[in-house]
Amino acid sequence: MDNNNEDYRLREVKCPTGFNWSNLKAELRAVWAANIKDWKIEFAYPESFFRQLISPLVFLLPFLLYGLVLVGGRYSDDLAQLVGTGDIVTFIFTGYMLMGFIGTAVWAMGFSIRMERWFGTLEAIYVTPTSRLGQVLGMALHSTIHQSIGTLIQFIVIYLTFGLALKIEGILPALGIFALMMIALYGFGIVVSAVGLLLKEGWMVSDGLYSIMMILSPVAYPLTVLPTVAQQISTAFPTAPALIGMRSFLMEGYQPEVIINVFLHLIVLGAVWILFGILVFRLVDVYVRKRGMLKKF
Amino acid sequence: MVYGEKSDVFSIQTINLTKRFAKKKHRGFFSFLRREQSKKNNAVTVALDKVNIKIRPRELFGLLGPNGSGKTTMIKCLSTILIPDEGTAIVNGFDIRKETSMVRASLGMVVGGERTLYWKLTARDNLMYFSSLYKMHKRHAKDRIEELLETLQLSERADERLEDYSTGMRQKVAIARALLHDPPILLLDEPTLGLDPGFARQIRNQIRDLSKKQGKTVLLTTHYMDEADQLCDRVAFINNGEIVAVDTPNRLKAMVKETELVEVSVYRPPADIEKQLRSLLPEAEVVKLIPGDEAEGVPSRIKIIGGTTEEHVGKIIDALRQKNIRIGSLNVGVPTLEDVFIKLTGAKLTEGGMQ
Repeated sequence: MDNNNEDYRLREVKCPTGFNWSNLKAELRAVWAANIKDWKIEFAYPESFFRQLISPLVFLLPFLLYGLVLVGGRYSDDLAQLVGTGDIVTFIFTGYMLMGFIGTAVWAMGFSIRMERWFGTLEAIYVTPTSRLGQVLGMALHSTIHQSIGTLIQFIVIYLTFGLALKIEGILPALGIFALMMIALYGFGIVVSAVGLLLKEGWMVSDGLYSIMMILSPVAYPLTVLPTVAQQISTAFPTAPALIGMRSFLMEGYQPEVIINVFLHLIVLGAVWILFGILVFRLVDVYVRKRGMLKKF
Repeated sequence: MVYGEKSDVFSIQTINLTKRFAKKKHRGFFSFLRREQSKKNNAVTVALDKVNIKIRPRELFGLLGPNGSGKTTMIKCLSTILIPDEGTAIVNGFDIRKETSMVRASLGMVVGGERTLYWKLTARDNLMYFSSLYKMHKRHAKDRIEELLETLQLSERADERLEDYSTGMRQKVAIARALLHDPPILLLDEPTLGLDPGFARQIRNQIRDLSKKQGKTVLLTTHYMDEADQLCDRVAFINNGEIVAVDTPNRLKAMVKETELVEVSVYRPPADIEKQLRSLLPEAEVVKLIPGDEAEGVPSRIKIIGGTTEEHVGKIIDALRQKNIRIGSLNVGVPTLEDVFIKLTGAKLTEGGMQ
C-alpha cells in the first residue's frame, strides 16, 4: 500500500489504543462519562427521577403484605424449616432488594443500545475509538447506583416500619457476594444488550428474560418449591446462589462453610458470563455492521 | 480503474470497495409460505460497486450523487459503521477492516439533518461527553471545547439544552464534536441538509476554513451541486454505487460546452414533454425534465444538452407555445455540475431519489 506512511499518520493521531494502562484508563473514563451523561439526562425529567426512586418501595409493599397474610403473621415455622429463618418480612425484603439489580442487567443494560438508537446517537458513538461496551457498562453503572439509592430508601423505610432481623456480622460477606453477583449479572446484561443491538423489538426479550430470572430466583419463595429441573437451571444464573448466600449471612450470621460454596460458584459464573457476554456482543456487533442494521429503529 | 492523481500519500484510498444490501420486501406475515415470492425477496442492491478513489491530504473532496446513489454507504464504510463485502479502504494509513480504532481516532464525522446529539444535554455537556469517547484528558477537553465554542460562535448559549437550539446551531455543535480530537480527516455527510440559507452559508465557510486554513482532509457528500462547485477541490460523481467521473469542478463542467446547453423553466409541462422534445431535437444527447414545485412557485425545468443551441432555441419555443405551455425563462450556456451529471448518467441530482 503506497500510503502506509507511518511518519504521516503518527504525527496526526493522538489516541491511546491496545492493551495498556493509558488505554484502560481512557476506557474507564468513558464508562464513567456515560454514567454521568445518563444521570444528566435523567435529571432532565425530574418527575420520572422521583418516580423511579420511590417505585421500588411501592412495588415491595404488596409482596410484604401478601407474605404476612399468607403466613398469618410475621413468623412461619414452615418457612424456617425450608430456608432456616421464619421471619417472612426479612426473607422477602432480602429477596426483593436484589430484584431491582436483576432489572439493571436485563432492562438497563439491555436498553442502553436501544436508548442510544432512540436518541439518534448510536452511530455517533460508533465512530468514536472507545469500546461500544463502554456505553453498556456506563448504563449498568448508572443503573446500579440508581438501584442502590432505591434499595437504601427501601431499607430505611422497611426497617423503621416493620423492623428487620439482620445480623451485623453478616453484612460484609453479604456485600462481597453482592459484588460477585453484580459482575456475573453485568456479563448477563452484556448478552441482553447484544440482543438489543440485533433486534428492533429487543424489549420483548428483556421482558421474557426478566420474568424467567424472577421465577428462577428465590425472591419471594424458597428455591425448593420449584421443580428439580428449574432448580438446576437456576444455578446457571447468579441471583439464586447469591440470594441464598446473602440470606445465610444476613439472617444467620457469619458462616465460613457457605463462603467457599457460594463465592466459588459466583466467581465461576462471573467469569463465564463476562466472557460469553463479550463474545456474543462482538459477534453481534460485526453482524450488525455487515448487515447495516445499526440505525434500525 | 483507479481515479485520482498520483501522490505518495493519500488520506483516504478505497480499493475495490463494494457493499451490497439484501432487499427485503415485507409481503405479510405468511409470506414465507409462498416460495416463489420468497425467492424474489432475495434481491440484492449494490450500494457500492468496486469503488476506487484516492483523496490527498488537505484536499476538499466532494462526492456528488442523488439520494440512494451510495454516498452515505461510502461514508459509513470509511467510518467503520459498515463492514464492506469486498475490498477495503485505507484511512490515514489505517485499514478500515483491521485497524478500526485508529481509523475512528483519525476521523471526525458530521451527518446532516438528523438527531445525532443529546437534546436534553447542553452543548457543553454533549461535547464533554464525546471528548471522553475520543479518549481526551478532561483538562485538554475543556480547553478544546472552549476554543471550538468560540470559533463556532456558540459560547453564549453553550449551557443551554440542545432542545432549545435551532437546526443550524445543532449542526454547529455536531461540527464541534467532529473537531474535538482535532482529527486529520473529516467525513461530512450532507452537512447542510435542512438548514436555512444563512446557516448553510456559515457551515460552508467553516468547511472551507477547515480545509484551507486548518489543513484537514475533507470528504463531503452532497446532492447540492452549487455546494460542491463552490467548495470542492475535486468532485466525484457517484451513481448506482459506481464512480462515474472524478475531476475538478471546472474540468467537469468543461465536459458540457456552453454552446450545447439550453435550460427552459416551464409551468405545468405535460408528462410526455421529454419524448416530444427528443423527437423534435434528434441531435440532442440529453433531454431531461426536472419537476419543480409549482405550489411553492418553483417551475419545472427542461434541460437539453448536445447539438447546436442556436438551432434548438427556436424549435423549443415553437413546440412549447404550440402546446400552450407557459415559459418562465430560457437560458443558454453556463453549465453546472448537475448538467455534467445529467450528461454522464441521464439522471438528475436533486432530492427525491433517482429520476
